[in-house]
Amino acid sequence: MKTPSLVARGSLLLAAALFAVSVASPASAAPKKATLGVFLATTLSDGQERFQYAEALAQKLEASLGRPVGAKSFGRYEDFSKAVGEGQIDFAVVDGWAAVQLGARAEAVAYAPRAGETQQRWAIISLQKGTVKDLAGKRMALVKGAGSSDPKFVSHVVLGGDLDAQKHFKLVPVPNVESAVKMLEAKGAEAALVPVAHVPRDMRVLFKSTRVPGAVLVDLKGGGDALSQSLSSVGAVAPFDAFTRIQGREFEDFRKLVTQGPPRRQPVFADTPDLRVETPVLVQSESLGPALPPFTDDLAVSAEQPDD
Amino acid sequence: MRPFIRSPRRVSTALALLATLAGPPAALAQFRPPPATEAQRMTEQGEQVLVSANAALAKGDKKEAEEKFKKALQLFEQSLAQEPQSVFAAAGLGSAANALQDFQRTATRLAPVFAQNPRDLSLAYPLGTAYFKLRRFQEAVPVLEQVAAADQPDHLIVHYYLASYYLYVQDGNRAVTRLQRYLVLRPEKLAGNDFQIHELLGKAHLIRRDAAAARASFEKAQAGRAESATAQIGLAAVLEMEGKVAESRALLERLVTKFPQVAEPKERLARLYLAAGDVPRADLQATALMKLGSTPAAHLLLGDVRLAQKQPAQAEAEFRKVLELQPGLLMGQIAVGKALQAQARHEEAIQFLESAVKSGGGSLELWATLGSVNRRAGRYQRAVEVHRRVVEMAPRQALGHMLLGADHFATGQWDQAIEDYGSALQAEPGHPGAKQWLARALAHRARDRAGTQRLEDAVRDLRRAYDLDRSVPMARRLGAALLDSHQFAEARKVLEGAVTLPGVSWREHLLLGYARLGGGDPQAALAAFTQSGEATQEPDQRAEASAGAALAEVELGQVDAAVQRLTDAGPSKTAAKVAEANLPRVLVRRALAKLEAGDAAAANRDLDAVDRLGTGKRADLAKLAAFARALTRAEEGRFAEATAGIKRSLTPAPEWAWPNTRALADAWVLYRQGKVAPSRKLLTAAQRKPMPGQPKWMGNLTGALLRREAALAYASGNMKASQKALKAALAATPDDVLVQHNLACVDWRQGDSGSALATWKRLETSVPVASLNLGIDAQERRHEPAEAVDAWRRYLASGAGLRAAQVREWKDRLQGLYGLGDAQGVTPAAGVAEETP
Repeated sequence: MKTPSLVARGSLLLAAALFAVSVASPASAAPKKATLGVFLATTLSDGQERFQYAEALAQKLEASLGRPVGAKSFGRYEDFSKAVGEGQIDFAVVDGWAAVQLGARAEAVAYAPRAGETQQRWAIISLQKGTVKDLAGKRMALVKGAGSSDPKFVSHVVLGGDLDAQKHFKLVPVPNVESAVKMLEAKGAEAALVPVAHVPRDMRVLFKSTRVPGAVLVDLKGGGDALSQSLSSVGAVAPFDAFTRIQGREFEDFRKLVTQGPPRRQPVFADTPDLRVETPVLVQSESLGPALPPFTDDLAVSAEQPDD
Repeated sequence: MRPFIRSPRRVSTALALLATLAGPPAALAQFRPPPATEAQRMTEQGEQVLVSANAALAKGDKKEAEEKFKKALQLFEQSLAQEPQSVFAAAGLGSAANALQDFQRTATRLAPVFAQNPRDLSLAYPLGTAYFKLRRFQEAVPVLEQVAAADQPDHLIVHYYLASYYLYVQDGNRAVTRLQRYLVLRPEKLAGNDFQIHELLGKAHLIRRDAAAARASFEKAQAGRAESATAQIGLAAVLEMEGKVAESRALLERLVTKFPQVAEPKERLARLYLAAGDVPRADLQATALMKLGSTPAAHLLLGDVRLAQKQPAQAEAEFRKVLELQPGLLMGQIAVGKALQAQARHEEAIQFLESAVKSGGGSLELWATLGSVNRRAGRYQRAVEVHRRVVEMAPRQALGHMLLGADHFATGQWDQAIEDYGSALQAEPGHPGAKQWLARALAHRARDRAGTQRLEDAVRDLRRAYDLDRSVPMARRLGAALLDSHQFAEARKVLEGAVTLPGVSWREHLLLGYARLGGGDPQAALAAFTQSGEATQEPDQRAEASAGAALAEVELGQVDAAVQRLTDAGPSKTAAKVAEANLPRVLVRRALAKLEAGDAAAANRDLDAVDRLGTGKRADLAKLAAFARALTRAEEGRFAEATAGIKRSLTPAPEWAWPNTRALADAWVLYRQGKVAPSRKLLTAAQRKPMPGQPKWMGNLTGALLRREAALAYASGNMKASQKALKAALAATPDDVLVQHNLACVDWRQGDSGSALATWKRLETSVPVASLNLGIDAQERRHEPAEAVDAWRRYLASGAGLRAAQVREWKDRLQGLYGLGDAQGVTPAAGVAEETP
């Protein structure tokens, strides 16, 4: 699909483009084709798997949305963000951290859970024993995103604000999780940051993060509601479970955490127990006394009469 | 009640006495100075003739004596004809006429002379004797008493006469006096007959109900003589009076064999058999008695036996024979009336007795019987009329009042009955029947009064009744009335007395339980209820005792046990009612207790149960349940419902609410809602007039509001406001470590980390969050991850709740990053990857 949709274009040009589209299509009522992007550099560790997933999902979405859906699988963030930037992509399934980097134009619609989990932990792995502290000044392979904001994800989310990744490590960008592991094996780095699910058996885990959102479905063209509504009939597409809708501001909080970091810890108040009611304070106690039965029957007298 | 029919003992005594009185008097001649007139001369002659007549009598020449007496009588008559006021002539006439048994003449001729000379004993003696012989006792007794008072040996016989009379009228004391006087005055030659006097003395003592004296007299009569039937009969009567009925019967059974011809033992024995319900043996003796002679007493006895055999017609025949033999005999008439009534021939009975009354001039007993027969026939008006007559005839006797009491009792006129029995008691204090029936009439009236909401009057009646009749049933009635009028202390006193009486039942223990419960002593109440339950095997009664015990348990705080008991009230309807009346109240109470512990779910469960059970007509209780529900809503965080519920349940203000309950409840809900300012405003208003028990809680709410205010300000970053509120809270409770701790948080935020750290360190053992904050300080301000990990480990070790997950995450992360192992030396991040996501 070549329809330009850059916002910078003038309205006249936009009108002309729309006209061109309607001319190009033989049946003017036929729905516009949509494109699904898939960028899962850290969630899926195999290019073929990503491609197959993209195709399978596109088919399901086509059926569900009632419009043609094409699929594009991306191996690198730059390609993916370029396609997004050019408006080629209508919606995409991406790694959570990548969804944040897409910025406000990406509306997170649903999680793509795996094995029932919408979140995953990240691990700093190494071939050697030691601690994260010991890795000061060492190289750490990191799947590349937008570049400038990559360290924020590490510092703010993975390290919880307790360590500045950029100061502590020499970050070595790699395109995906496979290459991160390979980099480590090839001694191109002393450490690598990968999701726990992708830690090879022979690697040492120096650190595990808290749970972080995994793959998410994002809308890129303001059609979030329609997309959201179509999800119920999509169902599970291997290797993921069925999409689960994102509740409230959950993803926004994650985005904020990535971009701004966790708030500074402040001393907390000791909770004082709530004051409870006391019955005698509110109720006069004598009115709660026992209700005695009547004793009139005990006044009964015998029918005996005096006689002489 | 006093029996209508005189005891046959008295009948036989009277009959025997009449026979005695019919005998010739032992009159003695008297010396007179010589007369001067013709009349005096004749009188003198007459006296000489009289002397010789007595001499002839002494020799045993009755014929000559009689002639001489007649001669003397003639002379005295002539003399008296000439000088009608001659005392000497009249006195001589009296002696001669009496000797000839012409008592009528004596009475007629002497009365006018005696009227002129009322102090003259020579006239009084023969005249009194004549009256006595003529059975004109009303005239005889004063005259004879006058003679007796002079104590002259010549007039010895008057003591005997008087004693006989007093025995006849059952005046034991006077009889004893006369008989003892007789024994003192009698000449030695008459001592041989003393035994007769002793027997009479015995009878007099029996009338006085002095068994010991009677026994002594009869034993004296018996002493030194062959066994005497009369003395032995007397002893049998003494035994009976002493309550030794079996011994008395044994003695009489011996006497009837030993003295087969003597009537009285048979009669007495038959009466004993009748009283014991041994009708066949009574019949045997009565029949044997009849064979000795067809006497009124024998027929009376046989009639009574027939009545006991439920043969009233045959009884009537016997009683009518009594009247044939002795027309007008009171006891016979009464007995006929009774026999007629026993045949349900009420009208005949009434007519018979009415005519007896008319012809006989009406004796007390006859009137009494007539009235009672009317009562039994249902003619109460006439009964009262007739019995009023009895009162008029004998106002100083209890009899008439007792009868009227019975009449009024029969018609349920308790006021009059009570008055009647009261009068009876005044006439004869200690009259057992009067006491008993007065108490019962009072109990009847009390019941009626209690039924018309006059409880105080009922209590007064029953107090009086219980004073008269210290029995368990009366104590129960009084206790019940006191309970119903909520005089628990008084009820307790009475019932604690009652349970020491013989014949006490589960019921009195139950009432005592309620009295103690109402008086605020549930522990003692529970003991009484338990005893009540143990005193009976009846499931219904045990259920009632159990219901009472449940109420005591509630007061003792054993609410769960009580609810269980009340829920399974058991088979008794009364117990079910007690449960019904109390279970909702108890549940509301427990709900409130649960609320005090903050357990809204449990409170709701109890209140749901109250809704299912309903509160019946107790509108106040329904409102209290609604109030408790509203408070529960606040505890659950459903504040709008809580506020609305409080308003509904307190409009209009129910009795159980304090004047400031609404303000306090609303203030509490607003506090729970975090609306500090409006809550404080209501609290301040409520505090202007605190009710008993409130000030402490009001102080607590003031402190809680300050703490809440501080927490809200702290959360919004307003340290100044937070600090102000905390300082105010601390001023009221300087030792509150939580407030001290939180104030340190504010200090830290305001840059005074030094004092904050000091406070937290001091409070670490008592306030776990202090460790958390020490860790935060270490990590955030001083960048000392190892210290932070230690502090948070301490925090987590204290087991403290809500923030544990977060703090554990922080701690684990620092440990992972810096390789800070746990105390056990295990570094969680050092292992190989697990398959966990």
